[in-house]
Amino acid sequence: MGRIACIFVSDFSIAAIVRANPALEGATLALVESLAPHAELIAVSSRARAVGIRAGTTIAQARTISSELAVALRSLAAESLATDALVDVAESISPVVEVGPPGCVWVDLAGMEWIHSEEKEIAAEIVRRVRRIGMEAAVGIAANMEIARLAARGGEIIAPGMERDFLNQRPLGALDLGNSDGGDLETSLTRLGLNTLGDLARLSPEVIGTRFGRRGVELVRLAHGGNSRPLMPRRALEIFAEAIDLEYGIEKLEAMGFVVRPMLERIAERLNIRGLVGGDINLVLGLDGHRMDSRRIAIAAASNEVHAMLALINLALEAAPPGAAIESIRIEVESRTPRPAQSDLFAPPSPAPDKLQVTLARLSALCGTENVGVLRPENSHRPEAVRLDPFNPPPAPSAPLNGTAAKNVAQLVVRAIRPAAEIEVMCSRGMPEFVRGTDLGGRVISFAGPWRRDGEWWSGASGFARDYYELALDDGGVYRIFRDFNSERWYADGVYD
Amino acid sequence: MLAAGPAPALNGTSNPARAFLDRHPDLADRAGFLEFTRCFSGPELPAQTPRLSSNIAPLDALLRGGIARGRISEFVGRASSGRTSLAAAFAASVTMCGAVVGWIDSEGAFDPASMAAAGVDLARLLWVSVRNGTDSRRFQRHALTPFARRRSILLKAGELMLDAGGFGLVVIDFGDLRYPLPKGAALRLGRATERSGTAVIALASQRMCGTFAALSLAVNRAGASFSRIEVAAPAIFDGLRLEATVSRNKFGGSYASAMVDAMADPVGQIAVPLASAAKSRPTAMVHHGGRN
Repeated sequence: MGRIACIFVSDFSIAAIVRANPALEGATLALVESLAPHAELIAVSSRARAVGIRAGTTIAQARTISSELAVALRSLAAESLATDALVDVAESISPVVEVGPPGCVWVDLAGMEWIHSEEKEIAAEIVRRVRRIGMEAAVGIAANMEIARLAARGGEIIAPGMERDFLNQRPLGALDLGNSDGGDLETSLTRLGLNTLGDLARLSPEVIGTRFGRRGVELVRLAHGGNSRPLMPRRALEIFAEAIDLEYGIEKLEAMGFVVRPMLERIAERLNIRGLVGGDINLVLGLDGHRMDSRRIAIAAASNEVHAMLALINLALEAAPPGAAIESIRIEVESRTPRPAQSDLFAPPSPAPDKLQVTLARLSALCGTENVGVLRPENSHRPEAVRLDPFNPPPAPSAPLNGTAAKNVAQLVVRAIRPAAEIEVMCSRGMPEFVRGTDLGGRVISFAGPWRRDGEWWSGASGFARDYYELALDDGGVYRIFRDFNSERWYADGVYD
Repeated sequence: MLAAGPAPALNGTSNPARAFLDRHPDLADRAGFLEFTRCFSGPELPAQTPRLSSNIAPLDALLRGGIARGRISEFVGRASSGRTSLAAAFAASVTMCGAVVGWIDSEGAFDPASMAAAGVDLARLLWVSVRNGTDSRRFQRHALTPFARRRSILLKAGELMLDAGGFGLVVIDFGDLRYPLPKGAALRLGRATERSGTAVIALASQRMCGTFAALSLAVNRAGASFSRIEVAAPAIFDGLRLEATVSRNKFGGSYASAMVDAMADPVGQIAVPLASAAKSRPTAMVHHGGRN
């Protein structure tokens, strides 16, 4: 017989709102569909319930009971994201997961005995992980989904074979019949003197089916503990998102950091739980006047470093600030698989992959994504053409290296001048004699060249033709300069060093 | 008392410590004290420190095996002194072994084509340019000058690389930054280098890290070599002759110097057969000497 765990978050709509706005934690909170004074409360927090506020009362009535009542609009987006977070926790335990009603996720525990010796440990681990994503959950474990769901309300673990004993004591109200078939079914059963599932289990399914239809038969089957359909898993998430609707528009980027950071922390925690790292970020900002600002932030190295992600978002916003106050924020982070961390005993030391990714992310945040990576010469006839590739060093050769023979001569390298600096060159009989520029200048002691380079003439007006020289000046430098035939100007593009 | 006496002259022409001891034979057994007072140019750090070789024989001989891992080594020189070529030799040596190099570039002067020609495996070299990073509002908030911002980012990037660990070499190219690092910043960099065990090369036009650098190598251009295949043919730039002088070495061997030839890569620049160029070089070489 299989074992199913049910992760259950009570007052889920409240929990989702509190997760998105941690400042509301512990508050006397109620949710409404609209903020009109006579709008009815659709959910209340445990503290509000403790002071006597119930769902169904109006905002005005509730305020007379408690002046500390905080009223917030129900957010389906926050509930959807909280469900995703719950699924992340569930999938970090087992790959077979099914999403149930709001606040309920089932996990198939088949094979988990190889990892955890006791089901109590599994339940405790799930509770810990749910707490990491910002919610409190109860976990029930039983032979099938419905019994696990009933057990989750009390955080119970129903041992195999004890399902009937457990169900016999459950009141009919525990089934939430009002949510599916209307309140009539529970009332009708109660009128017949059926108060517990044990009472229901003593009846024949045919009799109940004749009176109450298909739902009645299902209830009897459930009361017998017989429903054991397998879970229907869904495709694993590849994009991890968090969103928030702000009550007031944010106009300063500094203030936005206080909102974005907790969102990134939640995403990083979800990624951590799933053993993934965050890649490129999609930032969608809802602006004042029903405008949207959507931007994609490329990540040089995937990591779960909140500081680096926040810095990159800040850099992107500073480079092109949004045109109006920000009223809603949605952050989507693409997940990536972390690089394997297996290293070789005989290879030279290299940065640990996880540390390297974090370092690259921090360097990108510090210097800009376009300034970190592997700089390579571009496949072009232009000597100054370079391209930047992501830094992903190949594994070191595992075979012990023999010592390389020492040379007596070093190779001379060039320090590039980017962009090429325009200079003034005085020539005599076609040969450079004196050079004057912003950072260089002097009499030419000796020169080599000219060496003709031309190309890209086939691509139209952007073709180039240059004569290159190497000049030793009396200022002590040896420079690489060229004369551009298109503009008839001289440029210095490197110094030998 | 020795401490109250006049400081001995360090003219660099002979061993100043030996000269001082000759004048004060009664202090011959107090070499440790002399080392403390900087009258002695002997080792301040143990010679057993692991070294990083450049695979350039004269340079390795000068540095007694190479630069020290876990220490800062400064290569100081002006434009065309050859300091970058020497750093590239160390980078090539590291990447050839399969290790990773970090190159922090303050002015965007890194030229991948010539680095690759010098033997650097670019796939193992992490390039970080701080040239455009100073626009960040994070640094503008502190009302720093552009120079101070660039220096701050350079140091921060260096510390990040060193803290990551596993880099065989980190080259910090200070470029045209004119002022030495504040002592606190140099100390931080030195400590980070020591913690990581990574060799760090600071490329600059003057000494940047002061006493926190284990080695200071002054590089000067001793000459530039141009040659012709034939008398009427255009000249070819052969390379530079460099004079490397150890102006300070905590492992001993200060004031020693060596000549290193750095040859230009003619393949990427000219279409003249190398063999014919080399054959004609001795007969038609135009050599221009002179230090910077």
